Amino acid sequence: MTALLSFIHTCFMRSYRYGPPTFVFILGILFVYSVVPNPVMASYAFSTIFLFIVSAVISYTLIDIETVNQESVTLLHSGSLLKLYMSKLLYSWLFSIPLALYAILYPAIFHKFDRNPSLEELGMSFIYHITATWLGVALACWFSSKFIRSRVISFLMLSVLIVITLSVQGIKDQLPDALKSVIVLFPPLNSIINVMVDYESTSLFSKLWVAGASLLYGTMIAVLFLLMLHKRKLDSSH
Amino acid sequence: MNALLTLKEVSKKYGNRDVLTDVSLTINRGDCIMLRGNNGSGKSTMLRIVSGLIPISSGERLLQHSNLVIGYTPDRLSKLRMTSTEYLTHMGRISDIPKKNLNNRIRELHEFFSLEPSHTLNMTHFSKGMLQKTNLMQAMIKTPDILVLDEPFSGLDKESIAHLLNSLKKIKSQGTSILAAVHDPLLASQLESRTYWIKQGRIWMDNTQNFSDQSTVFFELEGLVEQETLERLSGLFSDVTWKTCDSGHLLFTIMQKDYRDFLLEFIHKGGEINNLTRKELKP
Repeated sequence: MTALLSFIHTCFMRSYRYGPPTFVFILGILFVYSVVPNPVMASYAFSTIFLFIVSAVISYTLIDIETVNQESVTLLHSGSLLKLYMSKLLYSWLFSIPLALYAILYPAIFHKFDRNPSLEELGMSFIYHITATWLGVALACWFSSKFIRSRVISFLMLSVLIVITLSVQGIKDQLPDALKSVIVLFPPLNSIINVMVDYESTSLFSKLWVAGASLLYGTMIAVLFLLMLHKRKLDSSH
Repeated sequence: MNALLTLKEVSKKYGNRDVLTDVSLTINRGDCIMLRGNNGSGKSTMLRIVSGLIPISSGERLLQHSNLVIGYTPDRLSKLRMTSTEYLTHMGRISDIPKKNLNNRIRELHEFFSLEPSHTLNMTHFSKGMLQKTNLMQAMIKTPDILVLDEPFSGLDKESIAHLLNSLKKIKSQGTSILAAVHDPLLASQLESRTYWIKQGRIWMDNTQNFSDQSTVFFELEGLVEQETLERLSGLFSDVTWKTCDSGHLLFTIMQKDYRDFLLEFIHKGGEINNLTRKELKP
Protein backbone atom coordinates (compact mmCIF):
# COMPACT_ATOMS: atom_id res chain seq x y z
CA MET A 1 0.00 0.00 0.00
CA THR A 2 3.00 2.32 0.52
CA ALA A 3 3.71 2.10 -3.23
CA LEU A 4 0.13 3.09 -4.02
CA LEU A 5 0.28 5.98 -1.55
CA SER A 6 3.51 7.14 -3.16
CA PHE A 7 2.00 7.01 -6.68
CA ILE A 8 -1.15 8.85 -5.57
CA HIS A 9 1.03 11.45 -3.82
CA THR A 10 3.07 12.05 -7.00
CA CYS A 11 -0.07 12.34 -9.14
CA PHE A 12 -1.78 14.67 -6.65
CA MET A 13 1.24 16.91 -6.12
CA ARG A 14 1.97 17.24 -9.83
CA SER A 15 -1.66 17.88 -10.73
CA TYR A 16 -1.66 20.97 -8.43
CA ARG A 17 -5.28 20.15 -7.59
CA TYR A 18 -4.43 20.35 -3.91
CA GLY A 19 -3.75 24.09 -4.40
CA PRO A 20 -7.19 25.72 -4.16
CA PRO A 21 -8.54 23.92 -1.04
CA THR A 22 -5.18 24.08 0.77
CA PHE A 23 -4.55 27.74 0.11
CA VAL A 24 -8.14 28.71 0.92
CA PHE A 25 -7.70 26.93 4.27
CA ILE A 26 -4.30 28.48 5.05
CA LEU A 27 -5.43 31.98 4.11
CA GLY A 28 -8.81 31.50 5.82
CA ILE A 29 -7.16 30.63 9.14
CA LEU A 30 -4.76 33.59 8.82
CA PHE A 31 -7.74 35.87 8.14
CA VAL A 32 -9.86 34.54 11.01
CA TYR A 33 -7.06 34.98 13.54
CA SER A 34 -6.14 38.44 12.26
CA VAL A 35 -8.45 39.75 14.97
CA VAL A 36 -7.41 38.95 18.56
CA PRO A 37 -8.17 37.78 21.22
CA ASN A 38 -10.30 34.68 20.46
CA PRO A 39 -11.92 32.06 22.72
CA VAL A 40 -9.87 28.82 22.57
CA MET A 41 -12.32 25.97 22.01
CA ALA A 42 -14.91 27.98 20.07
CA SER A 43 -12.17 29.03 17.64
CA TYR A 44 -11.04 25.42 17.31
CA ALA A 45 -14.67 24.46 16.69
CA PHE A 46 -14.70 26.86 13.75
CA SER A 47 -11.46 25.49 12.29
CA THR A 48 -12.82 21.93 12.73
CA ILE A 49 -15.83 22.81 10.54
CA PHE A 50 -13.57 24.58 8.05
CA LEU A 51 -11.23 21.57 7.83
CA PHE A 52 -14.19 19.20 7.48
CA ILE A 53 -15.26 21.10 4.34
CA VAL A 54 -11.71 21.31 2.97
CA SER A 55 -11.06 17.59 3.53
CA ALA A 56 -14.32 16.75 1.75
CA VAL A 57 -13.17 18.81 -1.24
CA ILE A 58 -9.72 17.14 -1.18
CA SER A 59 -11.29 13.66 -1.05
CA TYR A 60 -13.72 14.60 -3.85
CA THR A 61 -10.79 15.77 -6.00
CA LEU A 62 -8.49 12.87 -5.17
CA ILE A 63 -10.95 10.01 -5.61
CA ASP A 64 -11.00 10.66 -9.37
CA ILE A 65 -7.38 11.80 -9.72
CA GLU A 66 -6.62 9.05 -12.26
CA THR A 67 -8.14 8.85 -15.72
CA VAL A 68 -10.25 5.76 -16.48
CA ASN A 69 -7.40 4.22 -18.49
CA GLN A 70 -4.75 4.87 -15.86
CA GLU A 71 -7.04 3.54 -13.14
CA SER A 72 -7.41 0.27 -15.08
CA VAL A 73 -3.62 -0.01 -15.29
CA THR A 74 -3.09 0.80 -11.60
CA LEU A 75 -5.79 -1.68 -10.63
CA LEU A 76 -4.18 -4.52 -12.58
CA HIS A 77 -0.76 -3.79 -11.05
CA SER A 78 -2.07 -3.52 -7.49
CA GLY A 79 -4.28 -6.57 -7.94
CA SER A 80 -7.09 -5.18 -5.82
CA LEU A 81 -9.61 -2.39 -6.30
CA LEU A 82 -10.13 -2.30 -2.54
CA LYS A 83 -6.43 -1.68 -1.95
CA LEU A 84 -6.41 1.10 -4.53
CA TYR A 85 -9.40 2.91 -3.06
CA MET A 86 -8.35 2.34 0.54
CA SER A 87 -5.09 4.05 -0.41
CA LYS A 88 -6.98 6.98 -1.92
CA LEU A 89 -9.09 7.41 1.22
CA LEU A 90 -6.09 7.02 3.50
CA TYR A 91 -4.05 9.51 1.47
CA SER A 92 -6.89 12.08 1.57
CA TRP A 93 -6.95 11.73 5.35
CA LEU A 94 -3.17 11.84 5.75
CA PHE A 95 -3.01 14.93 3.54
CA SER A 96 -5.31 16.76 5.94
CA ILE A 97 -3.24 16.00 9.04
CA PRO A 98 -0.64 18.77 8.43
CA LEU A 99 -3.55 21.15 7.88
CA ALA A 100 -5.02 20.05 11.23
CA LEU A 101 -1.66 20.65 12.92
CA TYR A 102 -1.47 24.09 11.33
CA ALA A 103 -5.01 24.94 12.53
CA ILE A 104 -4.08 23.87 16.09
CA LEU A 105 -0.56 25.23 16.39
CA TYR A 106 -0.70 28.53 14.49
CA PRO A 107 -3.10 30.34 16.89
CA ALA A 108 -1.50 28.69 19.96
CA ILE A 109 2.08 29.64 19.02
CA PHE A 110 1.27 33.15 17.80
CA HIS A 111 -0.91 34.01 20.85
CA LYS A 112 -4.17 34.47 19.00
CA PHE A 113 -6.27 33.35 22.00
CA ASP A 114 -7.50 35.14 25.09
CA ARG A 115 -5.44 32.69 27.17
CA ASN A 116 -2.90 29.91 26.63
CA PRO A 117 -4.64 26.60 25.74
CA SER A 118 -3.90 23.63 28.00
CA LEU A 119 -2.18 20.51 26.68
CA GLU A 120 -5.45 18.60 27.03
CA GLU A 121 -7.27 21.21 24.96
CA LEU A 122 -4.56 21.08 22.27
CA GLY A 123 -4.61 17.27 22.18
CA MET A 124 -8.40 16.94 22.14
CA SER A 125 -8.75 19.68 19.51
CA PHE A 126 -6.27 17.83 17.31
CA ILE A 127 -8.30 14.62 17.71
CA TYR A 128 -11.51 16.47 16.84
CA HIS A 129 -9.89 18.01 13.77
CA ILE A 130 -8.68 14.69 12.41
CA THR A 131 -11.92 12.83 13.18
CA ALA A 132 -13.93 15.56 11.41
CA THR A 133 -11.48 15.25 8.54
CA TRP A 134 -12.08 11.50 8.32
CA LEU A 135 -15.81 12.18 8.26
CA GLY A 136 -15.34 14.65 5.38
CA VAL A 137 -13.19 12.19 3.43
CA ALA A 138 -15.61 9.28 3.93
CA LEU A 139 -18.64 11.35 2.93
CA ALA A 140 -17.08 12.88 -0.17
CA CYS A 141 -15.84 9.59 -1.66
CA TRP A 142 -19.45 8.67 -2.46
CA PHE A 143 -19.55 11.51 -4.98
CA SER A 144 -16.96 9.84 -7.19
CA SER A 145 -17.64 9.71 -10.93
CA LYS A 146 -18.03 5.95 -10.42
CA PHE A 147 -21.43 6.62 -8.90
CA ILE A 148 -22.41 10.02 -10.30
CA ARG A 149 -21.14 10.71 -13.79
CA SER A 150 -21.84 14.44 -13.96
CA ARG A 151 -19.23 16.36 -12.01
CA VAL A 152 -21.56 19.38 -11.72
CA ILE A 153 -24.36 17.32 -10.18
CA SER A 154 -21.99 15.42 -7.88
CA PHE A 155 -20.42 18.68 -6.66
CA LEU A 156 -23.85 20.21 -6.02
CA MET A 157 -24.97 17.08 -4.16
CA LEU A 158 -21.83 17.10 -2.06
CA SER A 159 -22.40 20.77 -1.24
CA VAL A 160 -25.96 19.99 -0.14
CA LEU A 161 -24.71 17.13 2.05
CA ILE A 162 -22.12 19.41 3.67
CA VAL A 163 -24.83 22.00 4.38
CA ILE A 164 -27.10 19.30 5.85
CA THR A 165 -24.23 18.00 8.01
CA LEU A 166 -23.63 21.50 9.34
CA SER A 167 -27.36 22.06 9.97
CA VAL A 168 -28.14 18.84 11.83
CA GLN A 169 -28.92 20.69 15.07
CA GLY A 170 -31.39 22.98 13.27
CA ILE A 171 -33.01 20.01 11.50
CA LYS A 172 -33.32 18.18 14.84
CA ASP A 173 -35.06 21.18 16.42
CA GLN A 174 -37.61 21.29 13.59
CA LEU A 175 -38.42 17.58 13.70
CA PRO A 176 -41.38 16.27 15.77
CA ASP A 177 -40.33 14.33 18.88
CA ALA A 178 -41.25 10.97 17.31
CA LEU A 179 -38.76 11.54 14.49
CA LYS A 180 -35.92 13.05 16.50
CA SER A 181 -34.15 9.68 16.73
CA VAL A 182 -33.72 9.74 12.92
CA ILE A 183 -30.99 12.29 13.49
CA VAL A 184 -28.63 9.47 14.49
CA LEU A 185 -28.35 8.60 10.78
CA PHE A 186 -26.86 12.00 9.96
CA PRO A 187 -23.08 12.59 10.07
CA PRO A 188 -22.26 13.38 13.73
CA LEU A 189 -20.17 16.50 13.14
CA ASN A 190 -22.55 18.62 15.20
CA SER A 191 -21.86 16.44 18.28
CA ILE A 192 -18.16 17.33 18.04
CA ILE A 193 -18.95 21.02 17.60
CA ASN A 194 -21.39 21.02 20.55
CA VAL A 195 -18.76 19.41 22.80
CA MET A 196 -16.10 21.90 21.70
CA VAL A 197 -18.36 24.88 22.33
CA ASP A 198 -19.34 23.57 25.82
CA TYR A 199 -15.97 21.95 26.46
CA GLU A 200 -15.61 23.03 30.11
CA SER A 201 -18.94 21.57 31.21
CA THR A 202 -18.72 18.31 29.22
CA SER A 203 -17.75 15.00 30.86
CA LEU A 204 -14.59 13.19 29.76
CA PHE A 205 -16.71 10.30 28.48
CA SER A 206 -18.72 12.60 26.21
CA LYS A 207 -15.52 14.29 25.01
CA LEU A 208 -14.10 10.95 23.89
CA TRP A 209 -17.41 9.48 22.75
CA VAL A 210 -18.08 12.16 20.10
CA ALA A 211 -14.65 11.58 18.58
CA GLY A 212 -15.19 7.80 18.59
CA ALA A 213 -18.69 8.14 17.11
CA SER A 214 -17.38 10.26 14.22
CA LEU A 215 -14.56 7.81 13.53
CA LEU A 216 -17.00 4.90 13.61
CA TYR A 217 -19.53 6.67 11.37
CA GLY A 218 -16.79 7.61 8.86
CA THR A 219 -15.39 4.09 8.87
CA MET A 220 -18.81 2.54 8.33
CA ILE A 221 -19.66 4.65 5.30
CA ALA A 222 -16.14 4.19 3.88
CA VAL A 223 -16.46 0.39 4.23
CA LEU A 224 -19.88 0.54 2.56
CA PHE A 225 -18.33 2.56 -0.29
CA LEU A 226 -15.54 0.01 -0.71
CA LEU A 227 -18.00 -2.89 -0.71
CA MET A 228 -20.07 -1.18 -3.43
CA LEU A 229 -16.93 -0.63 -5.50
CA HIS A 230 -15.79 -4.21 -5.00
CA LYS A 231 -19.10 -5.42 -6.42
CA ARG A 232 -19.09 -3.09 -9.43
CA LYS A 233 -15.34 -3.12 -10.14
CA LEU A 234 -14.72 -0.47 -12.84
CA ASP A 235 -18.12 -0.96 -14.45
CA SER A 236 -19.34 2.59 -14.32
CA SER A 237 -16.31 3.84 -16.19
CA HIS A 238 -17.46 2.13 -19.38
CA MET B 1 -6.41 -27.55 -18.00
CA ASN B 2 -3.95 -26.19 -20.62
CA ALA B 3 -5.81 -22.97 -21.34
CA LEU B 4 -4.44 -19.92 -19.56
CA LEU B 5 -7.81 -18.21 -19.62
CA THR B 6 -11.24 -19.35 -20.72
CA LEU B 7 -14.44 -17.39 -21.21
CA LYS B 8 -17.50 -19.64 -21.15
CA GLU B 9 -20.71 -18.24 -22.58
CA VAL B 10 -20.00 -14.84 -21.12
CA SER B 11 -22.63 -12.13 -21.47
CA LYS B 12 -22.41 -8.52 -20.48
CA LYS B 13 -25.34 -6.16 -20.11
CA TYR B 14 -25.48 -2.46 -19.30
CA GLY B 15 -29.05 -1.91 -18.15
CA ASN B 16 -31.20 -3.43 -20.87
CA ARG B 17 -28.49 -3.19 -23.51
CA ASP B 18 -26.70 -6.42 -24.41
CA VAL B 19 -23.07 -5.57 -25.14
CA LEU B 20 -21.80 -9.15 -25.35
CA THR B 21 -23.90 -12.29 -25.69
CA ASP B 22 -22.70 -15.86 -25.01
CA VAL B 23 -19.07 -15.15 -25.85
CA SER B 24 -16.71 -18.12 -25.48
CA LEU B 25 -12.98 -17.86 -25.99
CA THR B 26 -9.95 -19.88 -24.96
CA ILE B 27 -6.47 -18.39 -24.69
CA ASN B 28 -3.63 -20.92 -24.63
CA ARG B 29 0.05 -20.20 -24.01
CA GLY B 30 1.65 -18.55 -27.05
CA ASP B 31 -1.68 -17.77 -28.72
CA CYS B 32 -2.06 -14.59 -30.70
CA ILE B 33 -5.66 -13.53 -31.10
CA MET B 34 -6.94 -10.48 -32.95
CA LEU B 35 -10.38 -9.06 -32.26
CA ARG B 36 -12.00 -7.07 -35.00
CA GLY B 37 -15.23 -5.18 -35.17
CA ASN B 38 -16.74 -1.73 -35.54
CA ASN B 39 -16.74 1.04 -32.99
CA GLY B 40 -19.08 0.11 -30.16
CA SER B 41 -19.18 -3.56 -31.14
CA GLY B 42 -17.95 -4.63 -27.69
CA LYS B 43 -14.23 -5.21 -28.35
CA SER B 44 -13.01 -3.03 -25.48
CA THR B 45 -15.62 -4.49 -23.13
CA MET B 46 -14.35 -7.96 -23.99
CA LEU B 47 -10.74 -6.95 -23.35
CA ARG B 48 -11.73 -5.46 -19.99
CA ILE B 49 -13.58 -8.67 -19.10
CA VAL B 50 -10.57 -10.80 -20.05
CA SER B 51 -8.37 -8.52 -17.90
CA GLY B 52 -10.80 -8.85 -14.99
CA LEU B 53 -11.50 -5.13 -14.83
CA ILE B 54 -15.28 -5.38 -15.08
CA PRO B 55 -17.71 -8.03 -13.83
CA ILE B 56 -19.64 -10.26 -16.21
CA SER B 57 -23.43 -10.46 -16.19
CA SER B 58 -23.49 -14.22 -16.80
CA GLY B 59 -21.16 -17.04 -17.83
CA GLU B 60 -17.74 -17.93 -16.46
CA ARG B 61 -14.20 -16.52 -16.59
CA LEU B 62 -11.72 -19.24 -15.67
CA LEU B 63 -8.02 -18.71 -15.02
CA GLN B 64 -5.41 -21.48 -15.16
CA HIS B 65 -4.14 -20.35 -11.76
CA SER B 66 -4.72 -17.41 -9.47
CA ASN B 67 -1.24 -15.96 -10.03
CA LEU B 68 -1.73 -15.53 -13.78
CA VAL B 69 -0.12 -12.24 -14.84
CA ILE B 70 -2.23 -10.21 -17.26
CA GLY B 71 -0.66 -7.09 -18.78
CA TYR B 72 -3.21 -4.60 -20.09
CA THR B 73 -2.60 -1.65 -22.37
CA PRO B 74 -5.54 0.72 -22.72
CA ASP B 75 -6.10 2.43 -26.07
CA ARG B 76 -4.50 5.61 -24.79
CA LEU B 77 -2.19 6.07 -21.83
CA SER B 78 -2.66 9.24 -19.79
CA LYS B 79 0.00 11.90 -20.26
CA LEU B 80 1.19 12.09 -16.67
CA ARG B 81 3.57 14.70 -15.32
CA MET B 82 6.39 12.21 -14.78
CA THR B 83 9.15 10.60 -16.81
CA SER B 84 8.75 7.09 -18.22
CA THR B 85 11.28 5.82 -15.65
CA GLU B 86 9.37 7.40 -12.76
CA TYR B 87 6.10 6.04 -14.08
CA LEU B 88 7.44 2.52 -14.55
CA THR B 89 9.08 2.62 -11.11
CA HIS B 90 5.70 3.46 -9.57
CA MET B 91 3.92 0.70 -11.51
CA GLY B 92 6.67 -1.80 -10.67
CA ARG B 93 6.58 -0.97 -6.97
CA ILE B 94 2.78 -1.29 -6.98
CA SER B 95 3.30 -4.74 -8.55
CA ASP B 96 5.62 -5.64 -5.65
CA ILE B 97 8.74 -6.06 -7.78
CA PRO B 98 11.90 -5.82 -5.62
CA LYS B 99 13.77 -2.52 -6.14
CA LYS B 100 16.95 -4.00 -7.61
CA ASN B 101 15.11 -6.22 -10.11
CA LEU B 102 12.85 -3.32 -10.97
CA ASN B 103 15.68 -0.98 -11.99
CA ASN B 104 17.14 -3.67 -14.23
CA ARG B 105 13.76 -4.49 -15.71
CA ILE B 106 13.05 -0.82 -16.50
CA ARG B 107 16.44 -0.52 -18.23
CA GLU B 108 15.75 -3.75 -20.16
CA LEU B 109 12.33 -2.56 -21.29
CA HIS B 110 13.68 0.83 -22.44
CA GLU B 111 16.25 -1.03 -24.54
CA PHE B 112 13.71 -3.54 -25.85
CA PHE B 113 11.37 -0.81 -27.06
CA SER B 114 14.22 1.53 -28.12
CA LEU B 115 13.05 4.35 -25.91
CA GLU B 116 15.72 6.60 -24.43
CA PRO B 117 15.20 6.78 -20.64
CA SER B 118 15.15 10.51 -19.89
CA HIS B 119 15.34 12.02 -16.40
CA THR B 120 13.80 15.29 -17.51
CA LEU B 121 11.30 14.63 -20.30
CA ASN B 122 7.84 14.11 -18.81
CA MET B 123 5.20 11.95 -20.46
CA THR B 124 3.20 15.14 -21.09
CA HIS B 125 5.70 15.89 -23.88
CA PHE B 126 5.73 12.37 -25.36
CA SER B 127 4.68 11.66 -28.94
CA LYS B 128 1.94 9.07 -29.53
CA GLY B 129 4.59 6.48 -30.40
CA MET B 130 6.60 7.12 -27.22
CA LEU B 131 3.44 7.01 -25.14
CA GLN B 132 2.39 3.72 -26.71
CA LYS B 133 5.81 2.24 -26.00
CA THR B 134 5.51 3.32 -22.35
CA ASN B 135 2.03 1.82 -22.34
CA LEU B 136 3.45 -1.54 -23.45
CA MET B 137 6.36 -1.25 -21.03
CA GLN B 138 4.02 -0.86 -18.04
CA ALA B 139 2.05 -3.90 -19.19
CA MET B 140 5.29 -5.90 -19.34
CA ILE B 141 6.88 -4.68 -16.14
CA LYS B 142 6.12 -8.16 -14.76
CA THR B 143 6.55 -10.63 -17.62
CA PRO B 144 2.91 -11.27 -18.50
CA ASP B 145 1.31 -14.60 -19.32
CA ILE B 146 -1.29 -12.77 -21.37
CA LEU B 147 -0.84 -9.35 -22.95
CA VAL B 148 -4.14 -7.58 -23.65
CA LEU B 149 -3.86 -4.72 -26.13
CA ASP B 150 -6.62 -2.26 -26.97
CA GLU B 151 -6.01 -0.71 -30.42
CA PRO B 152 -2.21 -0.76 -30.00
CA PHE B 153 -1.50 0.79 -33.41
CA SER B 154 -4.12 3.52 -33.28
CA GLY B 155 -2.77 6.91 -34.33
CA LEU B 156 0.83 5.73 -34.82
CA ASP B 157 2.98 6.59 -37.83
CA LYS B 158 4.36 3.89 -40.14
CA GLU B 159 7.76 3.77 -38.45
CA SER B 160 6.27 3.35 -34.97
CA ILE B 161 3.88 0.67 -36.25
CA ALA B 162 6.74 -1.28 -37.80
CA HIS B 163 8.75 -1.07 -34.59
CA LEU B 164 5.80 -2.04 -32.45
CA LEU B 165 4.97 -4.99 -34.70
CA ASN B 166 8.53 -6.19 -34.42
CA SER B 167 8.41 -5.88 -30.62
CA LEU B 168 5.12 -7.79 -30.45
CA LYS B 169 6.58 -10.58 -32.60
CA LYS B 170 9.48 -10.87 -30.14
CA ILE B 171 7.12 -10.86 -27.16
CA LYS B 172 5.04 -13.59 -28.82
CA SER B 173 8.13 -15.68 -29.53
CA GLN B 174 8.96 -15.54 -25.81
CA GLY B 175 5.73 -17.43 -25.09
CA THR B 176 3.47 -14.59 -24.04
CA SER B 177 -0.09 -14.89 -25.33
CA ILE B 178 -1.45 -11.80 -27.05
CA LEU B 179 -5.05 -10.69 -27.31
CA ALA B 180 -5.47 -7.46 -29.26
CA ALA B 181 -8.31 -5.40 -30.64
CA VAL B 182 -7.19 -4.05 -34.00
CA HIS B 183 -8.83 -2.18 -36.81
CA ASP B 184 -6.37 -2.75 -39.63
CA PRO B 185 -6.47 -6.22 -41.29
CA LEU B 186 -2.92 -5.71 -42.50
CA LEU B 187 -1.64 -5.53 -38.94
CA ALA B 188 -3.79 -8.48 -37.89
CA SER B 189 -2.13 -10.58 -40.60
CA GLN B 190 1.42 -9.59 -39.69
CA LEU B 191 1.30 -11.28 -36.30
CA GLU B 192 0.34 -14.77 -37.52
CA SER B 193 -2.75 -14.71 -35.45
CA ARG B 194 -6.23 -16.08 -35.50
CA THR B 195 -8.89 -13.46 -35.96
CA TYR B 196 -12.27 -13.21 -34.31
CA TRP B 197 -15.01 -10.80 -35.24
CA ILE B 198 -17.37 -9.22 -32.78
CA LYS B 199 -20.60 -8.13 -34.37
CA GLN B 200 -23.77 -7.18 -32.50
CA GLY B 201 -22.28 -8.56 -29.30
CA ARG B 202 -21.53 -12.03 -30.66
CA ILE B 203 -18.14 -13.48 -31.48
CA TRP B 204 -17.11 -15.77 -34.30
CA MET B 205 -13.87 -16.88 -35.83
CA ASP B 206 -12.81 -15.50 -39.19
CA ASN B 207 -12.45 -18.64 -41.33
CA THR B 208 -12.18 -16.73 -44.60
CA GLN B 209 -8.83 -15.29 -43.66
CA ASN B 210 -6.01 -16.82 -45.68
CA PHE B 211 -3.16 -14.41 -45.91
CA SER B 212 -0.44 -16.97 -46.30
CA ASP B 213 -0.83 -18.08 -49.89
CA GLN B 214 -2.04 -15.07 -51.82
CA SER B 215 -2.03 -11.31 -51.61
CA THR B 216 -5.19 -9.61 -50.39
CA VAL B 217 -6.24 -6.15 -51.43
CA PHE B 218 -8.28 -3.83 -49.27
CA PHE B 219 -9.05 -0.10 -49.17
CA GLU B 220 -9.11 2.51 -46.47
CA LEU B 221 -11.59 5.32 -46.94
CA GLU B 222 -11.51 8.39 -44.75
CA GLY B 223 -14.56 10.59 -44.99
CA LEU B 224 -17.79 11.88 -43.56
CA VAL B 225 -21.26 10.46 -43.73
CA GLU B 226 -24.51 11.01 -41.84
CA GLN B 227 -25.35 8.69 -38.94
CA GLU B 228 -28.39 7.26 -40.71
CA THR B 229 -26.28 6.36 -43.75
CA LEU B 230 -23.57 4.91 -41.53
CA GLU B 231 -26.10 2.56 -39.98
CA ARG B 232 -27.38 1.59 -43.45
CA LEU B 233 -23.84 0.92 -44.71
CA SER B 234 -23.03 -1.15 -41.60
CA GLY B 235 -26.13 -3.24 -42.26
CA LEU B 236 -25.41 -3.73 -45.97
CA PHE B 237 -21.68 -4.46 -45.71
CA SER B 238 -21.05 -6.65 -42.69
CA ASP B 239 -17.32 -7.12 -43.46
CA VAL B 240 -16.62 -3.39 -43.63
CA THR B 241 -15.29 -1.98 -40.37
CA TRP B 242 -15.09 1.65 -39.37
CA LYS B 243 -13.73 3.77 -36.58
CA THR B 244 -13.65 7.46 -35.74
CA CYS B 245 -10.30 9.17 -36.32
CA ASP B 246 -8.86 11.90 -34.10
CA SER B 247 -9.77 14.39 -36.87
CA GLY B 248 -13.45 13.46 -36.44
CA HIS B 249 -13.58 11.71 -39.82
CA LEU B 250 -14.61 8.09 -40.18
CA LEU B 251 -12.08 5.53 -41.37
CA PHE B 252 -13.62 2.59 -43.24
CA THR B 253 -11.69 -0.59 -44.02
CA ILE B 254 -13.20 -2.21 -47.13
CA MET B 255 -12.21 -5.56 -48.61
CA GLN B 256 -11.94 -5.68 -52.41
CA LYS B 257 -15.15 -7.66 -52.87
CA ASP B 258 -17.19 -4.85 -51.28
CA TYR B 259 -15.20 -1.97 -52.74
CA ARG B 260 -17.32 -1.07 -55.79
CA ASP B 261 -20.76 -1.47 -54.20
CA PHE B 262 -19.69 0.27 -51.01
CA LEU B 263 -18.28 3.29 -52.83
CA LEU B 264 -21.37 3.64 -55.03
CA GLU B 265 -23.65 3.47 -52.01
CA PHE B 266 -21.42 5.83 -50.03
CA ILE B 267 -21.38 8.49 -52.76
CA HIS B 268 -25.03 7.97 -53.66
CA LYS B 269 -26.03 8.70 -50.06
CA GLY B 270 -24.04 11.94 -50.01
CA GLY B 271 -20.87 10.68 -48.29
CA GLU B 272 -17.83 12.92 -48.56
CA ILE B 273 -14.48 11.28 -49.34
CA ASN B 274 -11.44 12.83 -47.75
CA ASN B 275 -8.90 10.17 -48.62
CA LEU B 276 -8.92 6.77 -50.29
CA THR B 277 -5.95 4.41 -50.04
CA ARG B 278 -5.38 1.01 -51.62
CA LYS B 279 -3.47 -1.45 -49.41
CA GLU B 280 -2.20 -4.93 -50.04
CA LEU B 281 -1.45 -7.84 -47.76
CA LYS B 282 1.47 -9.72 -49.25
CA PRO B 283 2.17 -13.38 -48.47
